[in-house]
Amino acid sequence: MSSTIALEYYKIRRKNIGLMLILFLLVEMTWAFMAISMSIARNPDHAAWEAVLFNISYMNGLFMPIVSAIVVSRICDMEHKGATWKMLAATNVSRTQLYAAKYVCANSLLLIGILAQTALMIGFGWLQKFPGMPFGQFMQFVAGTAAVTLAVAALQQWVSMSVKNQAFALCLGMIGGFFGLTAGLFPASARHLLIWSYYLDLSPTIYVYSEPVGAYAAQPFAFGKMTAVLMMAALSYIAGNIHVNRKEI
Amino acid sequence: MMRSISAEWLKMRRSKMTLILAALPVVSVLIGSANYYLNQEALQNDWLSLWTQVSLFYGEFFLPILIAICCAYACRLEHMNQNWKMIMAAPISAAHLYLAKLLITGMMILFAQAMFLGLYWLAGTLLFLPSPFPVKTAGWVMRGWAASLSIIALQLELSLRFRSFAVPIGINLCAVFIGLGMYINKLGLFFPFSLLTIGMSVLSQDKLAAMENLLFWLMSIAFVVIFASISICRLKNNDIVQA
Amino acid sequence: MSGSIMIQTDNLTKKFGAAASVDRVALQVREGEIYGFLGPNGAGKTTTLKMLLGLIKPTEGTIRIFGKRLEEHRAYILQRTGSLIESPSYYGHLTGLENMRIMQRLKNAPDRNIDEALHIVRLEQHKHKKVDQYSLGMKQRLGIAMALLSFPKLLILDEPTNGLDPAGIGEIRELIKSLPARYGMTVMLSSHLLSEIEQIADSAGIIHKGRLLFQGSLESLWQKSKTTIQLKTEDNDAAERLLLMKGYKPIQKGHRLQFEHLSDAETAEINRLLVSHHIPVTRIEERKKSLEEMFLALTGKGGSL
Repeated sequence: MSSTIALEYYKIRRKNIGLMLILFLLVEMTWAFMAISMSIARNPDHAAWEAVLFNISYMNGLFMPIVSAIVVSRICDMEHKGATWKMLAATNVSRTQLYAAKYVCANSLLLIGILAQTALMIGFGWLQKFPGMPFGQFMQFVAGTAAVTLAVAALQQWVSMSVKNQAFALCLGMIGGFFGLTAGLFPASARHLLIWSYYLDLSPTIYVYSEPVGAYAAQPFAFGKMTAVLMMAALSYIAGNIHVNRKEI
Repeated sequence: MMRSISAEWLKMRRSKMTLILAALPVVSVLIGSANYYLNQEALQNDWLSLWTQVSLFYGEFFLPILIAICCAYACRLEHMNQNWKMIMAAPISAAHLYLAKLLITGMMILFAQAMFLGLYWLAGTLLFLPSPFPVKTAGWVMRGWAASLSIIALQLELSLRFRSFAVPIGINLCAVFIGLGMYINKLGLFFPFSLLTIGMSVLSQDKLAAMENLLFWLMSIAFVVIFASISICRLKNNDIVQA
Repeated sequence: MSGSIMIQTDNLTKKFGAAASVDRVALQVREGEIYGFLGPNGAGKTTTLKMLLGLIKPTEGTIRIFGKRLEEHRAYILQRTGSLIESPSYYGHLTGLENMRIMQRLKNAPDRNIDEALHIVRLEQHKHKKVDQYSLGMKQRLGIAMALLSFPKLLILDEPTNGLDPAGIGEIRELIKSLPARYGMTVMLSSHLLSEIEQIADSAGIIHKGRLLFQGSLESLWQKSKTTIQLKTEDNDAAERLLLMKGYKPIQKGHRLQFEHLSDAETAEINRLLVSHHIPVTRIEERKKSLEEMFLALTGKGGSL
C-alpha cells in the first residue's frame, strides 16, 4: 500500500499541483486579510484571533470545495488522458488500493494547504499583534477543515474518476463552493445535509449578528457534527470506491 | 466559417454540457429566491431586491467559473487524443477555428443567461411580486453577456495555452477576486471580470452614465479583440508539438 | 510442464445489451506457445482479452489462467502477466523512464528490468523524453516494454504492431517469436492480419462476430482452409484435358488452371504428368487465401467483415 501511495506522488511530478494549491490559497488569504484589516480599521474590537478564524472558515466554504475539485481532478484526469487506468487495473494491484492511494495523495496535499493556511493566519495575527494565542481554537480549525475536506475530496474523487469529462467534477466543486458560501442562509435542517456548509459549522468561532454591531464568539467543538462529517466522508468514499471498482474499462 | 461553426456545434453534442449550463443558473436562482423569501422585510424593492439576491453569486462567482469551464471544455476536446493535429490540418484557417470556438462558447453562455433571466422571471412570479417585471433586467443580462464575451476571450487564451483542464479554472477563480478588488477600487472598466459586475448591475443597480456606458462597450470590444488576436496569432504560429 | 494449458475459457460470453459481443468462446492456450488471436475489427478480440485481464467481467462463463480461476486468483495471475491492450497507456507529462518506473513499482520488478526492457524495444536513447513527445510507434514500443517489464510468464498483446513502421514491425515480430525460448513466456497476441499470425504464431484462434470459428495449430488451419494451387502452362486446354482424364478437377480461371485441395504429392504428380506430355509448365503458384476468403470459407457464407 505504501508503495502505491509513493507512486501516486511520483506520478504528479512536474504537474506543480502543490504550487498551484499554495497560489490559490495565497489569493484567498490576501483577500481575507485585506477584508479583516478593513474591518479592524472600522471596528478595533475585531482585532482578535476570532475574526481571522471566522473569516477564513467562511472563505474556505467557497474556496476549499473548488480547490479540492481542482486538485482531485488533476490527480484523476491524468489516468483518463493517457488511458492508464486500464493498464493499472491489469496489474496485480487492486483497484481499491489505487483508489485509496489517490485519496491519500489528494488529501495529504490539501492538508498541507490547510496547514499553510494556518501558518499564514498565525503570521498575520502575530503581525497585527493580536492578544493571546488560542492553540485550541487553531487545532479545532485544522481538525474541522480537514474533516470536511476529507468528505468533499471523497465526493470529488468519485465524480472525477467515474465521469471522464472533468467539467462535471469542477461544476460540482463550484456548486459546493456556492453552498459553502451561502450556507448561513439555509435553515439548519437543510444545511446539515450539505457537506460544504460544515466549513463554517465546524469553525471554532461564529459571528453573532446583533444590533448595533455584531461580535465574534467562540463555538465549542461539536462532536456530533464532526461525527456526521466523518460519516459523510466514509459514505462517499465507499460508494465511490465501489462504483469505480465495478465500472468496466 | 459556417463549416467550422457547425463542426464546433457537432463536437458539443452528447457532451451533456447543457446539463452544467442549466444547473448553475438554477442553483443560483433557487438560493437567491430562498434568501429573498426569508428576508422579505429587509428587502423592500421587490423585483430589484430579488435581482440583487439572485445575481450576486451568479454574476460574481458562478458565471465567470461557468465560462471558464465551457472554454476549458471546448479546448480539452482538442487537447485530447491528438486532435490538434487533425483540426489544424483541416482546410480551415486558424482565425475561423478560433472564432467558431468563441462563438460556440458565447452561445453556450447566452443560453445560460437566457435560463437565468427566465428563472428570475419565474421566481418573481411565483413569489407574487406586486410590480410588473422590470424589462431593463433583460438589458442587464445582455450587457452581462457582452462582458462575458471578453472573459470568454481571456479564458480561451488560457485554455489554449494550458493543456490541463483545471489550471485555467483556477486562474479564473483568482481573477474573480482580483476583479472584485478592482471593482471596489473603481477600476472596474479595465478588467474583464469587473466588467461583468458592472454589465450585469450586480452590485449597483444605478443607471450607468452615458460616458460609463460607452466606455463599457468600448472596453468589452477591446478585450475581445486583444485576446482574440493573441490567440489567433498563437494558433497560427505555434507548432503542434504534442504527438 | 511443457504443453500444459495456460489459458482456458469455458463458455465465455460478454453481452452489451442484448447483443453478444463475445459468444460462448472456449479458448485453449498452451504453455510456451505463441497463440495468434485472429479476427477482423469488431470481432470481439479486445473484449475477450479484456476479460482475460479482468478489466471487464464476463456475462457468463469461466476463465482459468495458470490453472487458477481468474475471479479468485486475480492478483496471482496478474502478477505473472504482462499486457498491452488497445492503444498504449502512458502518462504524457512523464518521461518514458518514469513511466517504466511506475510500472516497475506496481509489478515489484527489479530495477535492472527497466533498462533491459527498454533495450529490447530500443527506446534507451529516448527514455528521458516526455511521452507526449513520442511518436506513435515509440508509444507502442513503450507499451510493449511496459508489458515485458516483469518478464512475465504470460504476455497478452493486443495488435502489438499497430503504428510501427515496416522495419519496426519486423523487429517486434522477431522479438515476440524469440520470447518463449528466451524467457519461457507464453504469448497470446491478437491481430487482424493473417500474414502476421502466420509468421509468428504456433497456433491460432479465429473469432468472428463473437464466435470462435477455429482453434488449433497453424498446420491444421491451412488444412482446414482450402488453399488453391494455380498452374500456368503453355497450352492450358491440352493440360485441362489431360488432367481431367487423370481424375483431377482443374478449373480454368483466366489464363490459369486452378485446383482446390492439392497435397504436395499431388502437385508434384501433376507437374510430372504435364512435363512428360510435353506441356511446359511456366508457373505453379499457391494462392494464399486472404483473411476475407478464409472467413468466407470458415463461416460458409458471404457478408462483409
